[in-house]
Amino acid sequence: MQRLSPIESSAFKSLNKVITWFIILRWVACTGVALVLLFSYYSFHFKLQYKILSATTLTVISLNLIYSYYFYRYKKQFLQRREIHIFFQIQIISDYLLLLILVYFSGFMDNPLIFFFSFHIIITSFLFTSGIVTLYTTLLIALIGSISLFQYLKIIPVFPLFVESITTTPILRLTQTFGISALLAITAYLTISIINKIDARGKQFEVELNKYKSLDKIKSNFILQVTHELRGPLAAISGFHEMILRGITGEIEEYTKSIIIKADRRTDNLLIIIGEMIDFAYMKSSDDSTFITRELSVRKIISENISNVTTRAQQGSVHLSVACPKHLEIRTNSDLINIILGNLLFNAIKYTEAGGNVSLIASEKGNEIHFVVEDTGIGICEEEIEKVFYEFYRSRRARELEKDGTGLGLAIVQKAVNALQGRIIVYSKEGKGSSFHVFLPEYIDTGKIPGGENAENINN
Amino acid sequence: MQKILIIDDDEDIIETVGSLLKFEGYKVDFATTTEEGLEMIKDSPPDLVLLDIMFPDKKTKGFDAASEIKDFNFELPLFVFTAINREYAFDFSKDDIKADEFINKPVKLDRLIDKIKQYI
Repeated sequence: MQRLSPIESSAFKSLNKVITWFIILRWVACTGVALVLLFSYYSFHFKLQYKILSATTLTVISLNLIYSYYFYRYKKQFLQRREIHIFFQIQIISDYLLLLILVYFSGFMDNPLIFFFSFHIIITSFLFTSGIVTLYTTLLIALIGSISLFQYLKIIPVFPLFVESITTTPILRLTQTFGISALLAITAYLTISIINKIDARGKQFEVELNKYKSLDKIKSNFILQVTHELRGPLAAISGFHEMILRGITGEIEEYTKSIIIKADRRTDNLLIIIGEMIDFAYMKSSDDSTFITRELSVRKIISENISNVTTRAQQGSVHLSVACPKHLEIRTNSDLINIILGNLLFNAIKYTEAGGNVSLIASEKGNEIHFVVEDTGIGICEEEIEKVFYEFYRSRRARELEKDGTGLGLAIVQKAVNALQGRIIVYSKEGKGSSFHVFLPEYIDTGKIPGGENAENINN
Repeated sequence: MQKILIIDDDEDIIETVGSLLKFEGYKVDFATTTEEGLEMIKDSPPDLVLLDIMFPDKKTKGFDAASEIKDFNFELPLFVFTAINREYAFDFSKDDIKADEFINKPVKLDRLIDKIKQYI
């Protein structure tokens, strides 16, 4: 089975829609023709071939029944694009022929229904290549031309529309035929050229879009590389600080120690910022790649994330608590779930003053795992609550409390939650604390790493 | 005295982590390339190995080295350093890589010691 690109599959969908539309249209047409036949039967202005016309209408009805049967039966299965095309072409050809028969037996050139062919041409050109449309139109013009020629030569009979036949001179017939042919040819030409123009625009747009996307990707990859390079030296600096603080280099004075502690804290902050930028750049740079999922123990994920922040919580005298049922499992991507919980916990601790509490609770809710990260910290005020998920946004209080920060943490969380097909809700009151509720499906098979361009901004 | 082998191309990391471990009472050996490290494991087996992932010649060289070390002696505890918390680029997890523990850089001594004590 060939994979369809998004554009192709949308055309495929629209073809399905058109087929449904055509089936409905045929019912309308049949009803219309039947009513006209009934009306004209009791009116003496008309002189119609009732038997033939009724037979044609019945043929249309039975064909339409067959088409709808096949269509609804096979719509559930996955039909190849080619098969759908063939199915539709058969319908188009039968429509052409039946309309021609209908028109032929009811006055031909005198019947205004003959103009309906131009609609057919327009619709055909929206769905098929210009070659097919040209072929259809040429065949149609040839058919109409030869019918009028044969009628003129009296090789085939004329079926007039009215009792009092309008006297038609050969020259009028010729003009009518010419007029109709010209109308059909011009319709085909115009629609084809319009559609070609639209297609060209679409392609050009796609090229531009790809160019933009690849530029964005280069930029993100660059950030990814640079931040990666920055991380190594900082890790070494941090190691040296630890050596000094542990007294490996010899006794140090209290003042020196306090300075080194400060330097170390700033180094740690820088490492965190770099970590956020790596997460962010990564999410932007790899929008085409899919991630793998695994069966994971929720308890294990939670304990790993908690142990990552324990030191920080102790340093800030923030009390940590956890609750999670024993055998909870989730099939998801471990990197992304760690990004979500890690960032939320980290923020909760960062923005909670000494003596406060931070808790992480997980539970099962239907087909979802519900995580709550709650703190008794500074909270977010009402006007800002919507904006906390914006890239680079930092709340006023957050900026006051902590100078170093990118404002990327929650934007990253949001992207990761979206990628895992979950949702995030935040409740907060300024000065009282915040709680972030994350709902993740218990099971996802695979997914795409969130791309920069189509990541929605759902702010609950 | 238990011996820990550090394989990392960054000499500053070897110096800091090495001296911190020595300070805690371990004997420390080091190698700056994976080839050298493998030789040392074969010649004078350590009790535990700390291995970096990224090396100048190949981004994922540490992964290959991890397999080689485990192929040589599966029982030897192997910790892998990751320069970033999540090595996305490799889509790795503990199941894919034959390592016993993953240690984030910068190394926090208390956590490293806790983990080491679980193994030796």
